[in-house]
Amino acid sequence: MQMLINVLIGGLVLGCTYGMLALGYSLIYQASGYMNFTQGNLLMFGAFIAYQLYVVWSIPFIIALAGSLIVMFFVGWMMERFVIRRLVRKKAQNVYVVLATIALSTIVENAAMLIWGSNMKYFPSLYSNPSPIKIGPATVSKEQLTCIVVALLAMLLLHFFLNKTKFGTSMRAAAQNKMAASCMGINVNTTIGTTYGIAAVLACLGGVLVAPTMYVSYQLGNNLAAKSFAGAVIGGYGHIYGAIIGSLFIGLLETFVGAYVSSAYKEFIVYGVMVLFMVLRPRGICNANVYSV
Amino acid sequence: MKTLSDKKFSGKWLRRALAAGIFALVVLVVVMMENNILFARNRYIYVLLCYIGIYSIATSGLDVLFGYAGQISFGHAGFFCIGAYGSVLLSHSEWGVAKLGITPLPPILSIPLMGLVAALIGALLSKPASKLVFHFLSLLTIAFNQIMYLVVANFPGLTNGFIGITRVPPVKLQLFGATLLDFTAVKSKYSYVFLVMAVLAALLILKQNIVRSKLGRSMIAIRENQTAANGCGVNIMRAKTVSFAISAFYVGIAGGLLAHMVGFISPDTFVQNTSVIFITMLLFGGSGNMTGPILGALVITFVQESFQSLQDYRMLIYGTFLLAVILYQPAGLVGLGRSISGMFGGKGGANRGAA
Amino acid sequence: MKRLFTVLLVLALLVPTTLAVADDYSYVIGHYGGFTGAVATAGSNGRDGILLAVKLWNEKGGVLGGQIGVELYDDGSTTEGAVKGVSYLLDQVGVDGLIGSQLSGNIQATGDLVEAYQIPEVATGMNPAWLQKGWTYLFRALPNSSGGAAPLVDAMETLGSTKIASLVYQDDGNTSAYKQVKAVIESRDTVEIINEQQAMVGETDWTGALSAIINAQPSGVIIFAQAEQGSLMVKQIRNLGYTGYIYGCETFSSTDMRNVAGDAANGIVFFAPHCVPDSPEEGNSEAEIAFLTAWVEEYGKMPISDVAYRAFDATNVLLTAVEKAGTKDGPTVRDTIANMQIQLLAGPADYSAYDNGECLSGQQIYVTHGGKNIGWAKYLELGGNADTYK
Repeated sequence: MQMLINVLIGGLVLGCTYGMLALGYSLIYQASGYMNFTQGNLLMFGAFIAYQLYVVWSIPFIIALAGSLIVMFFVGWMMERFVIRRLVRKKAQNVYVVLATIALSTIVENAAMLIWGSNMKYFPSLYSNPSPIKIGPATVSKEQLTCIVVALLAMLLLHFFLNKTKFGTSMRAAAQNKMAASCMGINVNTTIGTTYGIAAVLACLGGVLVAPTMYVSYQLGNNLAAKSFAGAVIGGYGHIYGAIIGSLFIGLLETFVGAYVSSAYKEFIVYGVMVLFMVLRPRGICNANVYSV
Repeated sequence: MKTLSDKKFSGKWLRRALAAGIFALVVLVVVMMENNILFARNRYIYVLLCYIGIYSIATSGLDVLFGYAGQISFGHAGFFCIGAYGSVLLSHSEWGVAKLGITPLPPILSIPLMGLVAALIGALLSKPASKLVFHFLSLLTIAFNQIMYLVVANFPGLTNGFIGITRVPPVKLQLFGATLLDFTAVKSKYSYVFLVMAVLAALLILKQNIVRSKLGRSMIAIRENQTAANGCGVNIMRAKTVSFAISAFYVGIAGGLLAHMVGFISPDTFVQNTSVIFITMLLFGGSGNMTGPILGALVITFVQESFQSLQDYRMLIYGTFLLAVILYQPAGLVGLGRSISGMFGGKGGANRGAA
Repeated sequence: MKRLFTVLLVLALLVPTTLAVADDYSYVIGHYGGFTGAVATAGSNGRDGILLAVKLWNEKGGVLGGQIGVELYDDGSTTEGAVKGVSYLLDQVGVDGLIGSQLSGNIQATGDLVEAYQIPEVATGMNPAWLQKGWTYLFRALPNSSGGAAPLVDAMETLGSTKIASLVYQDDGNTSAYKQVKAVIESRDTVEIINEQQAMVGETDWTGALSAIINAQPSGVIIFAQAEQGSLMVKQIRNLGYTGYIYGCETFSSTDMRNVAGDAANGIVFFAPHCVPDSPEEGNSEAEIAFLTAWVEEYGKMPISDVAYRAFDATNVLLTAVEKAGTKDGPTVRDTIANMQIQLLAGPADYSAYDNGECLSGQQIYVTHGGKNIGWAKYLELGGNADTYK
């Protein structure tokens, strides 16, 4: 019983972290039709900025968090404005855009390494009493619970923003059909830029949530990015709720397989499931529209 | 009626002469190095040439898939891995087939054999891949790459896991007991580069023939407009499968050559990053032609070396450099070359400003 | 205009910038290591160790009547980089001696080259494998990891950890260290391994594996991993409620371990050739205190990884041998090293006692207690309390 609870919580935490990244992937794909490999390193960069504000400059945590979210929003926005938009305007092929995001990802990673050094940094606990709490027979750390709660809140906020606010609706409209949306008076450039910005903000939030349970280092993003892709694909690439469901599924799958089956082969199983979904059910769990060539 | 293509000194012949000239120059340089006239005792240049040659082979293979058939793959390091590990396991005196009691093959046989095996796996992979949209294909290939990496890393009984396998046998050509050629990587003058050059030349000629053939034309048709090609009677499935298989073959052979050159093999050569390097070289040099991949391999390798002096800033500058190239010159060096010759040549503006 | 600029840029970068070795160096050391990439922290510590050692030697007059130069090559922690790097150093630059990387894969990939060139190499890896291939020009300046297995199992027996579960990070150093520990355990029959888990490269969450381990209710847990992952594994297993002893390998001597894991790090028992303390005064010997003081003076803060010690020792071995031999000729220096005895930070080294390039055997056992690493003997004096983690 204890093991089950621990594994469940661990799986949820992992799933929420992947979810932050997968949401970014799906948002960007939905809005502009491109894949984006920078999310993982944006997560890392966001965590570093939060580290800088909270630990080095001793700013209170909430302000530090807000500060890093704002900074990352602009980073995402500027990436879109200066790199992606240029390439789109030149009608460059898909693969060039993807390669540009890979180059950006390398730049972000190495910039972080140069600014903050290559060794790991310790992100102190967010609570003054860091000891784990007990749920039934199991012990769970406070940071893990915070991660799950905040991530779910963020997803709810995103849902609210996209569906109930005017700007969110115009973003969805532009995502469905750029031409029609701009005929309606929607500034498509702004919405796409905002989408990238929001994706970066989500990545940053993911980074800040995961940092106290781990550490902050320039390698942080690489490890998480690949499996978040799997989550996005399984849930339906380009579908917002699919990204969340898929990531939670992957997080839980990975942790349960690691605990009950074998820790050696769990990577195989995760990638294998992804491949199976891609081959047998490319629309994913939530029936995303993926056949547009 | 005289057509443009009848001209004696048209661009095509000029380019062919240029290519032959460069090739002859390289061979001459290598021969001079061998005889101590130029770059005496400089094994470092040899090593670089070998790496450039191997990466050229791999990138040319990827070019068949991407430049001609228009399919993207971010996971070709998986085929690199199959070629390398396969060849090692078939030819090593202690690991692989030797453990089962079968006599190991000489590397000169195991490398092409594993190339064919890689081609087979490529064909199998392309079946699900050909149905997928572009970005799914890239994800599928990434997953393939990752799975191959996990396979060679997690079965220590088979591949010694992360500790790696040393004492990979060198490539020898023996006939009835007499050694005709010995491409031992380390012994005398690193003559391995001759082998790599020879294989590169042979594979380039093969590639030229493929792209000129009916198959090649169907691949280009698919790249330009898949629906129209289908309407013209091109068998899409077959063309895609074959292009995948061919690219896997090239990359597998490159992998085998690499393993036997270094003499040591371990899983961390075959990570995602290597696939990205292939793509980078391809796009940098220019895809869809003969010289582009080689130029790309050449320049990227040199750039990586000359950035050594920058130490910690190396990767950052490399990333910025790459981004600048993508933003300003997506057609790669070949596109650059065309526009330069377009600047000078007088073909009525046909090439001028082409990017 | 834009195109012209690109052309010029590309041409400018095509010229390989070879740092010409100035002729006024009487001996040039080459070093290939990972200053970027997977092991950047340890690699850059290693580089700094070499530079410090060379600086101290140069202040005392250098060697062979002149100053010592250092050529560096960043191999990015990959075997390709290592092969290119060693060819560059041996050929383009023409170094007289090599200090090797800490990654045994890179050492093995370049062993044949070094042997063919007849240049002595003192490498900083701990894996016994690369001295078992018959290369005569390769040496090690620290005890290899097989010397840690027996003392660690002794510690397990003393502390009463008879049921062991293990989590091993699957890279070459840690898998080979675990293999050796397992061999000792199996040969002795006093300790039993009840659960084995593996951690793949690239993972960051081991909840599944660790939950399975705790479920098996072991009395001791082996965790072998690099410092980055090991500190997290320790943190996670303590968060899951484990309070017993954790047995680790030399990577656990890194200060990062205690920084990241905090209180969770108490109760770790590990073997290491050196242990990096928190300040120079806590060094275990005069030589170590002097080394750490010089380090802090030069770099402003303490070293993070024990690779710094290894590289420092390796450089001293090489330069002492050159001085003794009175020449920089490769085979002569190699023979000098093979017969040398020298006092290192790692202990009294004797190359003549071994025939394959080793010089020391047996590792020290340390215990993390109260936020500090203390020696095994001292820990037993304190009572060897199994409640060290609370």
